[in-house]
Amino acid sequence: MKWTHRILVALLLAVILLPLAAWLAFPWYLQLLVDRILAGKPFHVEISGSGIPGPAGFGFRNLTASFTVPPDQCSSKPATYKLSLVNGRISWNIGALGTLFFSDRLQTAFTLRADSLCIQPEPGSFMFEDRDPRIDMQIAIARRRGAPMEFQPYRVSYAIRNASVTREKLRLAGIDYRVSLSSAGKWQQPSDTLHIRKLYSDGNLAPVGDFRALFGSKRDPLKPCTLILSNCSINLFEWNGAAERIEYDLRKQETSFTLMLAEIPLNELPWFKPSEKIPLKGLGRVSGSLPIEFRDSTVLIRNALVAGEAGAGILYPVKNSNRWFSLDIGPKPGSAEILKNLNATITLNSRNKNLSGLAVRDFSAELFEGKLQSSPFMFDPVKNEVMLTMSMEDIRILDRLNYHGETRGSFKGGLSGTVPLAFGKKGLTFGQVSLASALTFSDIALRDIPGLTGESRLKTPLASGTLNGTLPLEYRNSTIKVQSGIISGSKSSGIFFYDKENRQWLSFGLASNTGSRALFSNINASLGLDAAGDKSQHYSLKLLSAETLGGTILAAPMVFSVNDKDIPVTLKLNNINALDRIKLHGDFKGSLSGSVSGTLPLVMGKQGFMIRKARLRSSGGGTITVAPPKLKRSATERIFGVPDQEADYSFKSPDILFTRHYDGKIAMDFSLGELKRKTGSGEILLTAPKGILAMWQNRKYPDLVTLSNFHAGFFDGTIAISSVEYDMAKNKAETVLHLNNIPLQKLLDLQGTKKIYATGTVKGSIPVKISGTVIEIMDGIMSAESDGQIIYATTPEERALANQGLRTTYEALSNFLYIQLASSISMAPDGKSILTIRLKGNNPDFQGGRPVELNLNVEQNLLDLMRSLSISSNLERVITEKTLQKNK
Amino acid sequence: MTGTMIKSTALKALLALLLFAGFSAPAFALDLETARAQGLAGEVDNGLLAVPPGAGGEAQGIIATINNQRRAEYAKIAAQNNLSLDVVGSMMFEKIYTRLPAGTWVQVKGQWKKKAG
Repeated sequence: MKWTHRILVALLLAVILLPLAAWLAFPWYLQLLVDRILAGKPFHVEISGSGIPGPAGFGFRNLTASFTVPPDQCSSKPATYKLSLVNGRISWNIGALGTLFFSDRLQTAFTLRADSLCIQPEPGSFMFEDRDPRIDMQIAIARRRGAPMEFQPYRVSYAIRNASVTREKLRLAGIDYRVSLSSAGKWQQPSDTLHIRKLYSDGNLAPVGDFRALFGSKRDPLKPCTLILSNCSINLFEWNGAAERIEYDLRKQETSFTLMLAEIPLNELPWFKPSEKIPLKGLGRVSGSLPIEFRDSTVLIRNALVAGEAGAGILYPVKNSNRWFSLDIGPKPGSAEILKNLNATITLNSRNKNLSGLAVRDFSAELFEGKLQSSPFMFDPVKNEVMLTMSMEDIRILDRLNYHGETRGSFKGGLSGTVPLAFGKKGLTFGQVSLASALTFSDIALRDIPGLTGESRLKTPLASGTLNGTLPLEYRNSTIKVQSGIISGSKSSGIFFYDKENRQWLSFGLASNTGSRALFSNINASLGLDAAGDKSQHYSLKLLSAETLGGTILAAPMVFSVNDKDIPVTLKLNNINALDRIKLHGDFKGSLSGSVSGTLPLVMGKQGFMIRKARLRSSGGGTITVAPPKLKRSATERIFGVPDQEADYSFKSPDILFTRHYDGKIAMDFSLGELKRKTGSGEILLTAPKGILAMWQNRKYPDLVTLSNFHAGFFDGTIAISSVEYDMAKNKAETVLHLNNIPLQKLLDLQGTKKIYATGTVKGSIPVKISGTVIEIMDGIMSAESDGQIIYATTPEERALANQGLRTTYEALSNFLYIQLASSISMAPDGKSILTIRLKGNNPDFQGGRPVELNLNVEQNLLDLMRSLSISSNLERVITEKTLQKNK
Repeated sequence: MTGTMIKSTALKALLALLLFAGFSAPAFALDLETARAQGLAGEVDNGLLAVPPGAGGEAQGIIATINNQRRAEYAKIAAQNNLSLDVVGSMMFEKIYTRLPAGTWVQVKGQWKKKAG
């Protein structure tokens, strides 16, 4: 080969190998190339881990760039930022590059992509981070002879999608913004929407987000150092705030704007959204304004306000009922806003140029016409905790509170005191709260008190009227106190009881008497919360006392937990004039009087209440008249016919031991001083009656009343019933009356006879069957308990008129000293009765006092007898009535 | 009015006769006068006898017997005059009272006391 050939081949190889070498050596000289390109520029770029470029670009592992913004008229200090890209790739348009061989200048597009992009100032106070960024650059490349190639970027665009900015524990996430710079636009960022979706504090989503604002780098020539954000909006606790323009003075580092809080339905605010956990429900709309000034790392809030539209309110439904509380937050005369003059100074504290917390001071506001103030407090983003003490002065929140039950009740009162609170990872916790309020309430319907709703009128009493009162409340040292409270009942308020026909038969008056006498006065109570101090909520009732109806009521101290199955409350009653308040209606009438004293152990449970052996006694008593409806009767009937069925029952000194179970079973041990039944035909007096009444023992038979162990003094003797079941629905009962030590004379007096006198006492067992108004006696037996005397006193005329046999009987019975007396009695439902009497004894004045045995059978209609006995009294009454009519 | 007066006069006469008769009692170991004098028996305002407070039961027998007799007699009077036994007994007590020596136990309206001199 000739040398020329060899040289030619070598040159050809060089032409081929040199670009190949340059291509292969690209990673080694890339940094030199970049340094050369950026020589004299205010930023520096370092690329590492670059690969061998392909025809359309090359990749790299890391790219870091730092650039310094020099001081200008708005900033006296230069600012340095560091940008880093990881696992990036720069790609270009290969076709366009090719034209460089034929032209000195070309315009081409470069695209920079990476796994992540990070921008941090130095020192690093915050960090901007974007995953999968894409930056497009339009670059002009110029080649001049004898000079290196010049790279002239003329357009850069970077669509930020879902980026984030982190500063300490705070993180702005979901940032969107489109950066678009160009030489034609003099490298000014045109106005574009900055959108920040979320703010996190220590990983927790903050209730502030969805910030939008139009923002560009072009300045107002008159305000060259003012950064302008326009059409700003933000979501604050799901409440949209808007500011038309926010101007931030870069030189003074201050801004001032008013965030207008849009009208928002209350039920869209997080606290009032109806849910399982939150029983509150918002009604109507609220709006507000939040004037904000920012200066020297300090945010000033000046005269912020919140107002509700007419009809706006917060509802608190009462569980399992259609009753609720409402808090009216609409405008009131003289008070258009619920919150106004809210002022606060918030300082962004920094430590070592890092944000160390928010310091809030001078917090004050007018809330519900009262004053609300807060102690200075810090928000530490590391601890994520706020601790402060709120002071309240006469906050008239109660003036806006209503209760919607049977009637619309209202409240009045101011709230004053201090509330130390902490808000952090554990949620909202309170310190030693101290609050006081003179709570006044009015028109709270009695029917809203559990047990008095009258929903099932037949079984439960029905209340009527309303309660009013004042309860001076104080909460301090975990103890709620009531001092000298008063509760009054409205006119004609009371509790009413109804019979099966739905007729009112008994009422208990709760109206406050004329004058200033309250139903309950001098109410004092002390209830300690968390007395046991453990996790379960414990309450300690230290005091509950009141004066009522001339007496006092006092609860025994107790400790209980809301988780307790049963909560026992023992009330001691002393001289309460409760009987005066009882009124009878319909077939019943009468008056009772006297005070009640005793102990009432109540047990409140989840299924209702029970009473464990309540002991109530009274020195009083009264008369109850049972008067069934009168039928129209003829004049003859009025004089000689059926007497009025009216009966007066009077009693004295009741003493009861009362037990009520959760299921409604009632047992009552009772004793009375006396019980008197008085009718037109006579009077029956039971002295010291006592027994046990049981009601609602069997759900299947709710009308069954059982009287057991009944015992009473009767005609100087005793009457007893071991057990009787009375069916109130059918008016049926069947039992045996046990009589003991009954003076014979008293029984004879009851018969109405005035001719027979007797001494001695009898005992007996009389089976009685009652069905409606019909009484039946079946084989009753009676016998004398000792010897005695029977005298049948007759006049000589009667003896003369009598036959021989009867005359002998008359004589024998004129002074009969019996040693044995036995009797049996039966009475059919129609009143027809057979009375047999067997007497053994003697008459000392008859036939030398020889023993005599007498058998007497008396057949009569006992009911007719009772009627005839009442004729005289009926006559007297009719004559009196006629006399009165004539005198009218 | 006149009838009532006649009836009342007749009744009084009958009572006087009864007293004069002195309730001729059978012979007892203890007679009524002695029992009353010893404080073992006292007169009650219903016209009957009873054991006064603090006394033993020695006079129980005679009291029961005399009371039976008195009751029989009072009953007759009551029947004849259409009065109750109690009324007759009360009237009898008034008569008996006047004849009682001072210091005798008497029970008036449930209260025991000794007749003043």
